[in-house]
Amino acid sequence: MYLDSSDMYGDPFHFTVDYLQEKLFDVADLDEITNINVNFYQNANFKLTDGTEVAYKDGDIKFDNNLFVSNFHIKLGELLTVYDNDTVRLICNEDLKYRLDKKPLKRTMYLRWVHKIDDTLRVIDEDTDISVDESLSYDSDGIIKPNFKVHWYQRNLANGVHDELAGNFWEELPDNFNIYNRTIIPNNHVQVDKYKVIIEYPIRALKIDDMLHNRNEAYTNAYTAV
Amino acid sequence: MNSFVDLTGDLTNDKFRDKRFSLLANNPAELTTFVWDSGVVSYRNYTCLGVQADFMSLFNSADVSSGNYGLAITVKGKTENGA
Repeated sequence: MYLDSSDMYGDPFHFTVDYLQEKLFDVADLDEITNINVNFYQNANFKLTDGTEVAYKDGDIKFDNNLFVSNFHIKLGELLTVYDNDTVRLICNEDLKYRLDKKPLKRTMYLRWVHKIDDTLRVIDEDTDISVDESLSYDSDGIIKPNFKVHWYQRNLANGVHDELAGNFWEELPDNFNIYNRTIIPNNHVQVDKYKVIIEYPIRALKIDDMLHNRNEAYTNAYTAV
Repeated sequence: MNSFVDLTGDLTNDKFRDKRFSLLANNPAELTTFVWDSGVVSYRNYTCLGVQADFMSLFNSADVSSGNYGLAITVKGKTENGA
């Protein structure tokens, strides 16, 4: 597989600054990936417009390197087309069983949210820095902020544990909203530790209703829905 | 990447954010430079692999019009029939 100059956007021979390129590869044929190896390469076939070869030295003096790659990232996943509606997935890529003699016991969990807006699906993540709906929200300084909240919960079977969104025996994890990757320290006092995520965002009809009332200066409460 | 749902996060754990690799075009003594190897892994049931990187190509004012360079990615794995 190659992410090659023939795939690149722009003029791949005159990127005077770092220029982001990306490519997706189909690996559906493999049930298990056992190794990934990556090399930066060239075919030593560079030519000028007139067909002459590009020189790499002057006499015995080699020129400085002139091809660069940086900020390399590689990820595994799936195509958005497998989804047909709003979907929230909570993922852990490590073994879910803990061995108490192995430390550290922590696990990293990843939230992935596929959100449908006007029949278009998009992935909402930590890079989504504006409202996901047309009805933008603003903080007290007038800066656009997300109009959704990501809540993380841990199962807690103690008497009286209740959350308004998550229900009985779910306790909201502390820290700020809208965290997408979370390191979990297991509760050693229970056999099975459970977590879930709820995304809270306004229904557009209610948001518009809210805006209309605001226009009439007769309505100040915010509506939210799960 | 707009059509891609990232399920693993960056497999390199972001270790290449400030690291840069380079080659000299047409230098026959250096056709590749190693970037990354995952080691022995077991990633199951993913259908798509996404690669992102920043590229820079400084030929000064030379009127270069052809040539190949980029990332070569080798993925090894197994199928249920053992291939």
